[in-house]
Amino acid sequence: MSTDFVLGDEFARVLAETAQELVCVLDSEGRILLFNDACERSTGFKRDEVLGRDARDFVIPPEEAEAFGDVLAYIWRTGLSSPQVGHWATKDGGRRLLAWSNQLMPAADGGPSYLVTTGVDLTDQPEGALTGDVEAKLAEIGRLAQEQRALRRVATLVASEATPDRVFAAVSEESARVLEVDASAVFRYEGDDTATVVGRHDRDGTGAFQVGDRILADDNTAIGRARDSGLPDRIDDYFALDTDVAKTMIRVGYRSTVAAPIFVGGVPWGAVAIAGRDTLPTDSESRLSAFCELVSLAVASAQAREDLQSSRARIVKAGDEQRRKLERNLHDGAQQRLVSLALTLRLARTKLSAGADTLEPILAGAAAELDKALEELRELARGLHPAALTEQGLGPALQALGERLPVEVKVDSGANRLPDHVEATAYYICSEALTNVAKHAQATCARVTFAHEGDVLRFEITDDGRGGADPRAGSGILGLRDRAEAAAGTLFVISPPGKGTVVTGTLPLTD
Amino acid sequence: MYARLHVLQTTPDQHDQGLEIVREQLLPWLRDSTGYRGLIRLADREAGKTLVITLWADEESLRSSAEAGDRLSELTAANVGATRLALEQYEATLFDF
Repeated sequence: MSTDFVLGDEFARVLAETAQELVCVLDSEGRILLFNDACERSTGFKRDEVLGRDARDFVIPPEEAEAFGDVLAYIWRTGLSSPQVGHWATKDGGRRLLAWSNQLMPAADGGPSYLVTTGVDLTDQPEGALTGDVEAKLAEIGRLAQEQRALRRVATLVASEATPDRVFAAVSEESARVLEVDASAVFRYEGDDTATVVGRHDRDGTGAFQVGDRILADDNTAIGRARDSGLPDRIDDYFALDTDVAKTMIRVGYRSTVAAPIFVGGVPWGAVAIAGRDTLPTDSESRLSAFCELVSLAVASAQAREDLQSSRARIVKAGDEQRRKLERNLHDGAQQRLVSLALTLRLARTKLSAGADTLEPILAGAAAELDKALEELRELARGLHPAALTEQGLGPALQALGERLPVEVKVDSGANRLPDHVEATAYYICSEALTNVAKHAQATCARVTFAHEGDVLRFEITDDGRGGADPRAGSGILGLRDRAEAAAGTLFVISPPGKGTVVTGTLPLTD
Repeated sequence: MYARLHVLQTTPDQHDQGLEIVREQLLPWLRDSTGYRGLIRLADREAGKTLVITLWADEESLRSSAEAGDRLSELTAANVGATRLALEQYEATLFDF
């Protein structure tokens, strides 16, 4: 393999090959074009073995191959130097820690550029001996960069609304890689003293647990302690414990674990835990926490999507149900009365010559039938959207509704008119809640209160009934909440048995 | 399946007028009724008898249509001057159509 492209004369070649620092030249594909004596000494590979070959097949360890590709792409994209600290693999499977400088160099013939890199082997240097703090900082920067890349990959996955299962698997894999441990897993806490494995990864195929396994998460486990304290925790030595979990871990060769809790909505949802053959470094806890936040985000957004989906489905179903009910009411009520009215009037026509005594009861019947049909139509129309709401506003409309209910209803609202959509939503929620009171609460009295609080209308419907309304049973309360939340509002129900029910919530007054 | 049977004493003329009322006034409404499965009208012109059978999917729809069925058949009979001899409800134990 010629080196004319970069050195051009004998002096440069000898200099490069005999320098005490590692000198290595790469092309844009990561193929090794120059590999000097120092490289050979550090790695044990001979240049004949590696020249022309992809560095990732020899000197770049598999766990850093992706990062290496990222760096190459960055340098060729930007043309900028990118100092790195990373590992090279030696021929016998060991690792050397190297600090690299690099610079892109155009080829003499105007062809593709080449990357000239020079490195210092930090592996055997006493701490700080070579370049003091700079060396440690370079190592730290390299490590952080790798961690950031891993977190970014997971964050991208979360942002793309990947299923939680995929996020759990990715978090397990990336945290194991970044923290350089043998195994990592994501656990979900169950209501009892157990946790379920929802994602896992191991580098050595030992597989202490499988996805779906449910394990005891008590005080003798790191995940149990993390759940109870809300803080990361660790088991440094499973040999000191005599539990099933400890036995399992020892059987597959792990001595220690570190777990950090995942919070969703303020409560411990699960944990990310890593396991190693030796005692894990003291910074493992803090480094795991960054992954926990991503899991939390993924779980919370998946839950939010699911909640939204089912709320939408309930709203659509409720709307369909309401239309069906309206059609039934029209058919069985007013329409039936009008059919019989038509027959009654037809009958009256046949009796025209029979005289007033015969006609009078027939026509009276017709008039009564017509009155009933009208009243039923009015009731239906009011159910759709009461005219009183449009004409007089929320308070009077609810007052009018209350007068038709078998419960005493007091309405306490400001005289102010509100935007149409707010009045309609508030009316719907309050009328449903009052209808529930009349139907189920066995109450004698209900009160509706409205208050303006900044840009928000706060509403409250209370009764003195038997309480004990269950938000999960039936769709009544869920339907109210859906309606409030669809209008960007909130709704809560407090219903202790025997102490009445309070439905309270807010609706935004802005559009 | 369930059935409601209306038995009417009718002249041929009353039968024909009743037929028109059922077709024009009642069927459009009846067809939208919950559980409605059909109507059969039978005539014996010589004996002066008309039978009307309405079919219902289940006991529930038979029951909930009972009041309207009674009233509307009474009104129809009054319109044509016929006499209703019977109004009966049955379970249909075989229906081959």
